[in-house]
Amino acid sequence: MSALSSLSAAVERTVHTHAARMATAVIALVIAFLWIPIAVLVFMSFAAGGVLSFPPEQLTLEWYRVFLTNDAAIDAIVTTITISVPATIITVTLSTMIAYAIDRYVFPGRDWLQMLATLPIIVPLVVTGVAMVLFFNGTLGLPEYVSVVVAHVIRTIPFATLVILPTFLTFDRRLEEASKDLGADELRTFWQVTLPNIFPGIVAGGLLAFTLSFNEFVYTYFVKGSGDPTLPVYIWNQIRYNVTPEVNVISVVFLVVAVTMVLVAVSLTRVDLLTRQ
Amino acid sequence: MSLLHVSGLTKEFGDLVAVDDVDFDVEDGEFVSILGPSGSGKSTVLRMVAGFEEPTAGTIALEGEEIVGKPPFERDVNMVFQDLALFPHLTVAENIGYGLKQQGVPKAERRERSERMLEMVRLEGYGDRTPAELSGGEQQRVALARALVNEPALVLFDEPLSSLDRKLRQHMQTELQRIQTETDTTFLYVTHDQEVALAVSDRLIVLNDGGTQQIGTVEDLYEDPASRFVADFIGDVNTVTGRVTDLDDDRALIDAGTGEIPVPRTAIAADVAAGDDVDVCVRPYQVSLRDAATTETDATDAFASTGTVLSRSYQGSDSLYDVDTDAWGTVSAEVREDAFRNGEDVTVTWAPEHVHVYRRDDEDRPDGGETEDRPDGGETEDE
Repeated sequence: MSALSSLSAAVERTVHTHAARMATAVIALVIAFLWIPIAVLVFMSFAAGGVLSFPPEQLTLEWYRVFLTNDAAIDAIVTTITISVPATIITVTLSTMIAYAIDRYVFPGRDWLQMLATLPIIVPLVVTGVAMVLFFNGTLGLPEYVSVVVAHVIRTIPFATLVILPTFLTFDRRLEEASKDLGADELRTFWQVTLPNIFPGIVAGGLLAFTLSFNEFVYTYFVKGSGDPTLPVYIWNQIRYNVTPEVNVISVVFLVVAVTMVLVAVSLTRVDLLTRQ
Repeated sequence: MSLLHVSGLTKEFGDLVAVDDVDFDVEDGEFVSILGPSGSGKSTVLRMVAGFEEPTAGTIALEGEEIVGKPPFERDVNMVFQDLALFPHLTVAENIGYGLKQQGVPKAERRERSERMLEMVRLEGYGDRTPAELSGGEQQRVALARALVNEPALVLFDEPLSSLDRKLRQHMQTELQRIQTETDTTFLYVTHDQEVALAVSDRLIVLNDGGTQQIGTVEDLYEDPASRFVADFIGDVNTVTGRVTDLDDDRALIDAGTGEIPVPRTAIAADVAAGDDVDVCVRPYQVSLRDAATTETDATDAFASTGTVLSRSYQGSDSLYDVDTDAWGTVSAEVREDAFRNGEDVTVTWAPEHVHVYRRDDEDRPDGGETEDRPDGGETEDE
């Protein structure tokens, strides 16, 4: 017992004295394992020559030209967007309604709703993927496009809800009272006070949903039949049969989409204003 | 015609009667405070005047017009909220101009009137900042300006100063008075803090358990408290227990353990009858101390007891003594002399005309019915 407690005391002391250094080390590791491969990948998208060997002998924009003139790749992007945009809109609408209901009303099943909405995060993707194939395509016989959109909505709702809900919970309802007290009716109060204050959360949730949907592979792969592949599925097929630096270019496209979304989110939501509160 | 006329106001939340048949008036240009402990229903009264709660019964008339049933945005009152509720997504000037915008006042005029209001609350040049960039005291001023700029018939305050530290609170008190005088606006101010209420109000409404205890000026409430609750809540008071042995139109004989003392009828609450157990209340500044060795305690016409000095504290020009008396336990005395030392034997006396006598009713007591009642330092802290 005393040996154990002295051990834990020693651990605590070590953590206490070396906490800052350990944190730095962990951050360095994360950067090394996550970002260095990505940096290499971006770099390799400019590599001349047909194979993925590092370091490249020469740098070129050739693969970007190949990508942009590759109708199959462009079709894949279009296909992805035609799925992601409606999926995002549906997700944001549903997530906002879920968050609003959880925040404003006490109703039977309130706790269950919150859990159901977040459950898909925990269930393994493959399990849900197989289940959706059987249910949507088999039992319901939904068209392929509808199945994929629904799958994307299911995939993104938990994340969007988790982002949107806190904005509702932290929104001070007294602001609505103050607005009405100052002469604004219900509708004006919603437009001038409620919406501007919850909007950043909704936008952030929407952008997260779009990014997730744009990158979504597992559900799409399962649910999608023989139709046009989305970009992640296209890249998967490319890697399996024919690895060229064009794959790197597509990866860069994903990165650009993700980074753009974050920047748009930051500029739209006035994050600086939020953090100062 | 009173500016605000409240009559029979009652609010029930299920079985709980939060506000019970409250009547009061506020005259044009007055500064009236509703004072009560937490749970006394004072905020509910305010919220009913503002329109955030609908009364179960009763009427509220503003400038002679019934406003019960009207939504908040159709009432000519503006509120300064407890947590201020400034709009975080708007600048200070936009916050202040918000009410004017709803009335359709053009932008240029809004800007100009906001500026003037900022001057009034001494925040010139703060218009383009966001509320988050201001200190607590500055935010208070913005909240005040946001209400005043609309020139409402009545400004409501829901304990807006309770979050400030004491020094800033006292400063804002004087500011409130200045601004009230300068703008000639009527203020209805809710607080549990008697210090604030006594300092700023023309009149006070004391609430307890949803019911009105007393309405009057600060002097009325302090000099002639209508109930033991008011005596205890407004300022400090000593309470000793006694029994009425005889009662007629001029005086009562009260035995508080030191023999029968004649007390003028005017000092005795109306509902007291002969034979009742009573509380005898006296303010510390009405209590005298004398050296026990040099005085004789043959008191038959004053309340008197020997005792020992427990502690002494300076209160500016006076000293506040706690004395452990033989007859009543601890009694506080606020006196000019500072000649007494801890442990010294003294005689405690006060004159019968300085007492207030109430029928004993344990439910009425804020402290739950202890017989020995030490005045607390007068500081009621935040709820």
